Amino acid sequence: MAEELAPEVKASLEQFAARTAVDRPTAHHERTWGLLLERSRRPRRARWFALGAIAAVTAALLIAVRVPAEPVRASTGARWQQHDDVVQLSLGQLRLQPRDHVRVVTPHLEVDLYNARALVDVTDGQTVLAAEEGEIVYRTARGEWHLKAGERVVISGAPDAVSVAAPVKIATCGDGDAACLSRVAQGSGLAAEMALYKLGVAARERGSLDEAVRLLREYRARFPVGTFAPEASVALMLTLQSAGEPVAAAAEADDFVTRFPREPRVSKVRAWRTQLLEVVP
Amino acid sequence: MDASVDTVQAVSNRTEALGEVRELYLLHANGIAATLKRLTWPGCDVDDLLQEVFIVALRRPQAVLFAQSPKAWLFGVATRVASGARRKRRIRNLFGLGSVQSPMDARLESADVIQHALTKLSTRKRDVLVLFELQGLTGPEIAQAVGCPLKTVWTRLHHARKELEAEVRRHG
Repeated sequence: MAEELAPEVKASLEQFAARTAVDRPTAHHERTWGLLLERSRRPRRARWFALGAIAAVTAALLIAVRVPAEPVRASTGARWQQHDDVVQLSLGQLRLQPRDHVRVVTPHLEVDLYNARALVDVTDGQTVLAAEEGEIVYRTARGEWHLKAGERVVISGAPDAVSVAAPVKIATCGDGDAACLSRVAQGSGLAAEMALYKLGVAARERGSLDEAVRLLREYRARFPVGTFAPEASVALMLTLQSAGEPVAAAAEADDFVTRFPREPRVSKVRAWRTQLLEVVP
Repeated sequence: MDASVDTVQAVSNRTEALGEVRELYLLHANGIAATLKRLTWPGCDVDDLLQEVFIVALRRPQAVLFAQSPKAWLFGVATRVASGARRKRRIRNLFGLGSVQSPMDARLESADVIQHALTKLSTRKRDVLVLFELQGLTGPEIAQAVGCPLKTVWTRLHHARKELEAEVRRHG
């Protein structure tokens, strides 16, 4: 056990003990017992209050740190310009998520977006409009139309003779569902792009190199400025190399550097092309 | 039938437990109130803290009644309640919400060297010193109350005494 305290400290401590002693009669405690029982039966509000406060602070933080999405995102090679809330798109693809309002003008239609998310894809001779969220209004030479979330429309032909396709649900296929992917690939817009690219990659992975080259070349022909155009080009050059066509692969690499000079993979493609030609006899 | 017997048994047990906690309250209320007074600051609402201690006991009657020493269990809760009160006070003071000390409080603090010296000790040492020197709990009881081995109690007490003496000499 520990040693004793010094006598003067012990005296001070005893004085302090006497000063702080509580000597209430039992009757007092009997009276306060009822109050104590009543208090112990009250719900523990403090705990709920604390949980509520934590939930509120967490929600506020989540709202505060949520980064707003970019209002207009263009695909590589898209030709477009914006003046205030009007976007002119002549070729390529735009993904739009305006915070307020934006009007998109293409050779075939005009779209007004209010708190909606949409994809507009202009190729030679047609515009594909897909509503991803909210409801959008578009105008063609034939009148004004509405498009709901999950629907898309293809408007083709000259501005004075547009043909409006019936709204079609945007298709979603599993990666291994070749039949679904082939069906979607025959359409247009992002879904078709994605399906065609997936078919090309799948063919390459299972060793059908000729089919992969055909599909990837088809992608390039149909969607020269598509969302997956750089990926399709890289897949094509690798497939050509695997198929024993290094010269064609090198040509595709040159084409990649010319078409996508700002692509982050340009330096890798250049290095790959140099190595490729070194081994060619 | 079995269910109603169980219910009656449960009510009877609860009533019995309430009676036993009440006995503990009448027996130890003064001692626990004094300990709370010594572990907090002058002017602290000790009655409120005393109720908090026994609310814990009322919500967990089995814990207190089946404890090795119900007295040590209650004093253990008291040290934690006092620690919580000091923490709340520090937070309130940090945000400028603490009550302004009256001149009487200030005079009492400066006059009472022991009170001042106790505030200079760490929470663990102060709890052990107060329970041993002022409350008269035994070493094993303190070990149970503060949840540490007996040897740790003696070590803390040794250092607490040394630091208290040094502090008292500095201000005495």
